Amino acid sequence: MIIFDSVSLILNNVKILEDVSFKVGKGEFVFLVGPSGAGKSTILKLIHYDIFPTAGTVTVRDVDTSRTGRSGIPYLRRSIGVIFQDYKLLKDKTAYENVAFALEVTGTKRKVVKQKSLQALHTVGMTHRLNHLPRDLSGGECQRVAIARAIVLEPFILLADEPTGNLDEDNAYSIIELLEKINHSGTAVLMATHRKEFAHRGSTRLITIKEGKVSGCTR
Amino acid sequence: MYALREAFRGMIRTPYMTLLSIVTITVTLTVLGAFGVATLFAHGALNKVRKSEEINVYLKDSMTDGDMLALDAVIAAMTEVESTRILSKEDARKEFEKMFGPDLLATIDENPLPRTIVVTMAEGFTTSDDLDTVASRIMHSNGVESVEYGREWMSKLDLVFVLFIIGETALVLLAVAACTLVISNTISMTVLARKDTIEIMRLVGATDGFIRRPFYVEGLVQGLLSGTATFGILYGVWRWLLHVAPDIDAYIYMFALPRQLVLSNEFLIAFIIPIGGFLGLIGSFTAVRRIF
Repeated sequence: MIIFDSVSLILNNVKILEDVSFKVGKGEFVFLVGPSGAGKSTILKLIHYDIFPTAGTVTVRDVDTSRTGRSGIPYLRRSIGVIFQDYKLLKDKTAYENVAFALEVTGTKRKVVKQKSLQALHTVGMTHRLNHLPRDLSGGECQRVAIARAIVLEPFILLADEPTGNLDEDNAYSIIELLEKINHSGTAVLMATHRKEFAHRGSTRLITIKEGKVSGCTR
Repeated sequence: MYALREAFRGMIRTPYMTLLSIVTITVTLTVLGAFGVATLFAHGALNKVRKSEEINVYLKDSMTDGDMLALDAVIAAMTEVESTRILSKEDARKEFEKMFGPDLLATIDENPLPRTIVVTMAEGFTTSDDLDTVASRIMHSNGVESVEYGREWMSKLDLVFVLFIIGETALVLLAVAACTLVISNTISMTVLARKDTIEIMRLVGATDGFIRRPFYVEGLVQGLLSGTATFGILYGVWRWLLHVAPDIDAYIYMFALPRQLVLSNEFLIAFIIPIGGFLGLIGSFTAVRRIF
């Protein structure tokens, strides 16, 4: 599903990744663990067609990202959900509008937008807060809305870049549980975190990144 | 629909910039429009002056009346010539006296002035080159003493006309550049103000065209609003001119402006609206392409 084959990346003469190889299978839950600056976010960006490898190949659902035309990228991104540490919600839109926005800007019909947005907010347990602006929501709630926005397009994989970074312990674990729930419904999850302890749960897999290289991989 | 809604939201989000942009473009377009009207007047005036230019063909006294009439017919048949008029020696004397008074010729017994064929050029054949061509053709005819016309003066008029066109083109280019720059800057501000939204749109897979469209619409709307405001100003001034100088229409005819231009004056001024829209579109296009 996602294959990194001897991927290296050099940006501004700095080696960011070196000979990185791993696979993420269909419906897997994989933790990408490593200290800050190890290259975890870069790996997620490579999957999301934000940047392209200097050497090696990144294959996403049988598509070599480097060979994709610029005009095709938006369509490919629709099958990849992304969440971040800082949520990236639009401040002037309510929880519902933030989720619906993802569908509106990809040309979904209004009737379908409403139905799918409410369904996504229901999945993350935010139906009761759908008319609230981000400033009126807690950090955990904001991240749930961000997750709803990421899954509303029904992606095959959800990329999570330090999604618990701004949350307290309880909220962090409840977000992990939510991601596990989404994973159980068939969506693969690739979560980048510097907290190794999250990875020792259930049937998850762990890839350790250190100084731009894969230093360990379970299973 | 989304593009239109977002375009209006964008303008509401940065109201002062939008207002400033519309006012600046309106002022520029008004100057452009006023200059356009002035150009029509000036163009008409120049044509009128050109049209009044005549060639005087002075004839030898020895030429018979029959030969004179034959020559007159030949000249009148030329494509470049609109009409001819024969001045007898007596007519020439009267015209001379009308211009310089009776005293000058009073001391001379015999009328020294020659018979003259006055040639009026046809429309479209009034440049100094046209006059040269016709004059040289007549010059070699039998019985012609000399041919006179304001050659030097006509050349100067041609030069004035060319300078006028150059000045006009420069002003149009300047106005276009100013409008484009102002709209481009306003749209740039809007794009920067919506940086977060654009980032999220990209994140969820919105196409570049979809992201850019609201900004194009915003530029177009700003241009159209400015064009409409300019139309209001120019039309108001035109109505006011008609009020204070009701014979302005006659004045335009005097300057030989094409009749249909005068009759459809509102239409002519309204043309500034799509011009505004077009400039708005160019401005937003420049801004969006510059930023992403």
